[in-house]
Amino acid sequence: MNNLTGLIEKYFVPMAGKLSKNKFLKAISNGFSVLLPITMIGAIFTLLSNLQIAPYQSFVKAVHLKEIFGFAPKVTTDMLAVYAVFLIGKALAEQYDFDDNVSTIVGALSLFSFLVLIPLGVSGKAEKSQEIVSIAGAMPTTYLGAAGLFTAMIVGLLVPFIYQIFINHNIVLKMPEQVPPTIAKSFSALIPAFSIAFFFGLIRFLFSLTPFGDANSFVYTMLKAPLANLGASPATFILFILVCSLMWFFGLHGGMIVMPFINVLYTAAGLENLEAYANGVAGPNLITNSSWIVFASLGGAGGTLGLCILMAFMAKSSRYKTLGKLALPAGACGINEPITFGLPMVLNTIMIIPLIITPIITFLISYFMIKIGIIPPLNGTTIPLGTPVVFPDAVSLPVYIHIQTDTAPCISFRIRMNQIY
Amino acid sequence: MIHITLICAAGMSTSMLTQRMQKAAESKNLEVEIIAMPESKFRKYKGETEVLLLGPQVRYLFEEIKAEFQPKGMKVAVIDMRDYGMMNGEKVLEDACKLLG
Repeated sequence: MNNLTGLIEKYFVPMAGKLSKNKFLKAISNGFSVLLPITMIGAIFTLLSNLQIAPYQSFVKAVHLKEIFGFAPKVTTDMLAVYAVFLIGKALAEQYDFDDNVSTIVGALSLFSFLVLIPLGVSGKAEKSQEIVSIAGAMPTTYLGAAGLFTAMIVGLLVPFIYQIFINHNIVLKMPEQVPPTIAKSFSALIPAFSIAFFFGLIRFLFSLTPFGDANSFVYTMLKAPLANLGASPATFILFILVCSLMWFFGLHGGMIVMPFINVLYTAAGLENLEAYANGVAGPNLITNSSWIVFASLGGAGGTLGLCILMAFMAKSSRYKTLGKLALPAGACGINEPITFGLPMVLNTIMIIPLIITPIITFLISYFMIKIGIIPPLNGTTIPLGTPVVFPDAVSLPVYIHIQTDTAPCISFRIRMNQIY
Repeated sequence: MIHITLICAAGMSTSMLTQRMQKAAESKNLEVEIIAMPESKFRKYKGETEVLLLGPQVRYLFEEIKAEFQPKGMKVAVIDMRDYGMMNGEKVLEDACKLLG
């Protein structure tokens, strides 16, 4: 056992360290975490506008609240890529240790580059006649939301990367020494900025020559669709759970390492479900970014809520009883370090089995219940880490049925029954 | 006044520990200020820190953080797993004070 631990500390820990320090992954994580208020506005306003309770609906319609609630999702959920590209660009610039104002400039340049890639002009049927009308100056919103999120991530990572090359190789406009440094600094952005502008202009032009027509259609077909298929498979999600649990078995923060990948693969799925919910239809995606917290991480990584309850009320050993009571309130908010390090789960060969299979089982049960239609798909609300366990379920699923909240802890409880007494 | 900063991934579980450490400090009449924050925030944190403690779940950052902050006069250490899990504020505080000698 000591040999094994030694090997892990020697190879596995540095590898996890490298992964978690990767600038691109960190930028994705940090970008998405500051995006949260915007996604929450979209989600909560969608809920407020669409809550299917008849008296409530007639009330919000009568006092025009529905119009107020209804508009916010159109410029948040449906345009999330616009916010994302700015924030991811800024987040990566921060990873390169640029000054705050330079990071903001890089964020703005990322937004610019993203917008450049969208061809102007909208055409559609006129309202009354069957005539097709085109408006040349209008910007289509097709790729501003979920469909453009991948392009937003790519652009948001590419722009700071290019910018950084210029700065690190000192390819900037040099001012004579008499010019005050503050002024010289603001000019130093010019060469990288113009180069980035030209580069993305060129990309826009080159894509217009291809059958795809524009960069977003290309990314959508070549990347978004295959990745969405990959993400839609429960096996992919189970793999993430497995990696996360294994990391925690070695005492490393698995969630922090897996989360950027979850964001990349599943944010668009969540947005699509939210859009569907706003239109009053069931969401198309069975797995979204919130599936992680709602289904696969009840009480924290490893789904330890059942274990907390079990220990707090039924453990024979007084140490476990104390630990269970200590861990229960935090566990209800999805934080389980007390259990992971206190039980401990870390390097505990008895607990590794439930640590891995509990979240997989709770996830699979929910997945199949959604699949056969007992519970509706998650409506796409992004659940921040630390949200108490009943709350995500209440906002994520239409308020009526909720078997999941009741079953999952019981199951995780049953699995542990055989382990602890 | 001793300033102790605890860092972990999101600053959530460490914030539970700070409360317990603070209580332990009060009962011993020690003048300490203990705060918790995510690892990413600490680099931009301007406040004072004499002892920097890492949650065991981010111990892979230890070498890097030690190399960066030890030269600035901070004592850097990883919190013991068991003490962290049991939220043993008294013991963690004791260990932190030992670091200062």
